[in-house]
Amino acid sequence: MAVVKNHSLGAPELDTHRQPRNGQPKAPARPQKIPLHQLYALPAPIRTFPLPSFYPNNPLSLFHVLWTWSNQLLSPPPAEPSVVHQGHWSPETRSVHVHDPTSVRALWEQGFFGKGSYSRSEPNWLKREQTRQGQGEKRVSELVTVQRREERKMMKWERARKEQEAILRTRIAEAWIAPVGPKELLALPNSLEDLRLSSYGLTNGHVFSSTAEPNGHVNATQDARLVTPTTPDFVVNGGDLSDPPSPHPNPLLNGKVPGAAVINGTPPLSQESDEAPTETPDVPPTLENEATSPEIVDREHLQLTLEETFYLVFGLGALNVTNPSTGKVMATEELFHLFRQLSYAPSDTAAMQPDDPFLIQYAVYHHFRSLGWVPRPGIKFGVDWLLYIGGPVFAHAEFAVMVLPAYTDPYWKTRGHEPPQRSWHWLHSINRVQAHALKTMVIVYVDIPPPTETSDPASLLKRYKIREFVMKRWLSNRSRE
Amino acid sequence: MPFDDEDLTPAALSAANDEAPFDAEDGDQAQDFRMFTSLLSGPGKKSQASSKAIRRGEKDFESHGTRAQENILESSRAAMHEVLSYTRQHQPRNALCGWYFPDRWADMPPESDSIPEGAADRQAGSGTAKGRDTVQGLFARDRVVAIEADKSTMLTSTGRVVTTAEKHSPGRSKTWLLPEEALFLIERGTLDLWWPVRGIEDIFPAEEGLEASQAERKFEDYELGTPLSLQAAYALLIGRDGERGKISLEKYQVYSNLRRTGYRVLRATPLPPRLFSPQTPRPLWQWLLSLLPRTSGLFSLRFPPSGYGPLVRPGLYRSYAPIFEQLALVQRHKPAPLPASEVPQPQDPFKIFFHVWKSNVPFVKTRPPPPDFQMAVVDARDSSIPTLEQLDALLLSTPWGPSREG
Repeated sequence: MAVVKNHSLGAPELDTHRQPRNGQPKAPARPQKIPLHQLYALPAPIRTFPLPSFYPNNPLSLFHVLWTWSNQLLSPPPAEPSVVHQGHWSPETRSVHVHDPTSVRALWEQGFFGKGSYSRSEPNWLKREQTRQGQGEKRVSELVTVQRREERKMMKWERARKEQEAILRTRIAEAWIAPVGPKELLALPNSLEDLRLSSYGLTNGHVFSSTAEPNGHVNATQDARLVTPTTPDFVVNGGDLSDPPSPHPNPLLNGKVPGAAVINGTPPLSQESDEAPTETPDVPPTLENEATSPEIVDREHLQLTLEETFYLVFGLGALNVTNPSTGKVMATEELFHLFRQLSYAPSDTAAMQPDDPFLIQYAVYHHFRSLGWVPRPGIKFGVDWLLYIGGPVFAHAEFAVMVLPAYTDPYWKTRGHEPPQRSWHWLHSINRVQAHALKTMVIVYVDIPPPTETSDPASLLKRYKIREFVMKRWLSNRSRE
Repeated sequence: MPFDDEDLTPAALSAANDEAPFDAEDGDQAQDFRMFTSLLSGPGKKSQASSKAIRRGEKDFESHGTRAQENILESSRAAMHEVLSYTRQHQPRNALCGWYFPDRWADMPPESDSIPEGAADRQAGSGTAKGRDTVQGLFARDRVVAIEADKSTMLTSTGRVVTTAEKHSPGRSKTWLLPEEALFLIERGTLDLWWPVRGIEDIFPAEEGLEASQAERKFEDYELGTPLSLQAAYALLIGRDGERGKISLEKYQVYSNLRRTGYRVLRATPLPPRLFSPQTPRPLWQWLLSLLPRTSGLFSLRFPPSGYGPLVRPGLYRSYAPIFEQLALVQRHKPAPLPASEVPQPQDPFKIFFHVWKSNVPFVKTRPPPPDFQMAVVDARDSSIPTLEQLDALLLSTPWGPSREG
């Protein structure tokens, strides 16, 4: 059973301490020293210049206000967004690549756009690589995950070992029979000295093996099972982290390897790892230089989805996308047309409908972005978007958004246009995943307007209507009291 | 840094470590019958059979050859046999006798979908509005089984006396059951359904001579009718949706499951609008402030907005609020109460059919409190998930209850 609630997601409360500090540029030198709320202070790649607050009990603060105000009036700071990042359209991956490291950091820190090409989300391949080669310990989320997985594995293994021990103990206790026969009585130690000598044999070898004979068939099956592994079989490979392939398992993941070993292992490791990501298409191979110098070149780039790209270009104006074939900056119009066309399988469809997937998804993305949420693709949870308050570094996603089109307009009614039929099984399976991941499932209906002549995105998007429904499972045996 | 990419959140992790409680919430795990036996045989026989008392044991996936495990398994098996061999008995004094009269109230007016005038008053407690056709939740047309009134606890939320009928008409003083109520009681063993051979006048003689008729009954029981089997009861009471005097199998299954799990269930009636405090008026200074023109950006007004251009006009911003305001394009749904004429009528199956109450609230079946849950019954195999209009109509049919933020 499902409970559906009418819900409208308002703007999330942003913490007050996350207000920017007079738009001062951040120092990206030592990221682990900066608190998260300072590092990720800007919710969008736009700086604000708030006036200093005026305290009535401190008349001097008025001068401060006036001074800042007149300063901004006389020598205004550059119009925001002052930095326009550069991206390249990649038709092969259907995404926009950003290569400039400062742009990559800025787009990630100011609104959590994109994903590192070698990383799970935050572009931190370089940090991982540096950690791997022993150039300073850095806390990278992927490594934390690896460590947690390992701990969990260890814990499970420990639990299994204890269970096995308990079973073994009960089995020994059950197998023990009071020595009554003549052979057993003779085998008993005669003195304390004997006991000391044969103490091991008595507990481990003699009594156990001889008395276990009556139920020998049990014993035979035991032996195979009782061989508990002495060490859990860990191979920490980066394969499931979408790391670049590296042939050597990381010696540093446990953090216990002494420094000498690391230094010894450095030169072959760096050579190996530099060869590994040679599939990066656009970085020239400079292997000879790097083998000698410990400096690692950041080969990672940021990938922006179509929705993120269009939001940055059309909404904020903080990104320019160049076409690789012409080398020119693509206009918003061109991008809009291109992205919409990509939604169609034979992409040369002449008449584009108002319900093409890009438009629907973008309407939802834009809607939640304009309310201050941070939407990120939710494919790993089987939904369309995940909504973060503030960003993924602060908290887990609060909501999982599933987008559905709705055709309530009379235009669609007269044509008998039906929305896609989704089964309840489909919904329940998605909802079940969200319940397990402790996310609130939100179904977002996008009301599709009838087609029009206007083609500019602003007036098109104004015609879409969005409605959110929060859904949750209702369990009869849980709701009684 | 908590990342969602990490496969398990802390809470989910603890659940994964100790899988029993997480699974137990669904109740789809095997029961530990040893706990049941202690409930059955213990001195406090009617003790709390709460979910706490019946805890599931640890999972044992394979035999590891210890006698302790075998003993546990054997005792559990014995307990299961003991529980299953328990003889259920129906106390003859509790047995009810129900007579199937499908057409007795066929000419009664159907339940109205609108909220009757007096409903709000009756909710408030002055239960005087008792018009002939305005008794809510009576569903007289659908009541097909008549029983003698009874004081048993089963009837606190079951059956109604058809008060809208004329005085002294036969069967007026009896308790009449809806099909799902009758079928549930039959399945439970509380009720015997009888097929009447003679008319209702013979079975329920007129009220004025009640004592006299009790003394000298004209007919023996078996001259009046024949008892029906459970299969016959199903055949008579289960039908298609909307059939008078019957209920669809899906709805009956939902009903009986909810009743068995301890809820009180009645058929849904239109609910009076929930009373909510009117919105507090805005302070004067807020209103004055709203008159001031919004300065959305100090230097941004120079640039006219373009359909293609960046929505956020380049300029100097003092805060993020004007930036997000400029970005807001897509229309949002703002919930608001609609006048009754504009409210769309919900269509089956996305229509509230049952009202459900928790069992721990005082309950009067003729004047139930506002329900704890409202339920629509949908066949998951025959229908797909609701469209926007269906969901909208369904939600509009429930009382308007704004959230605290307004």
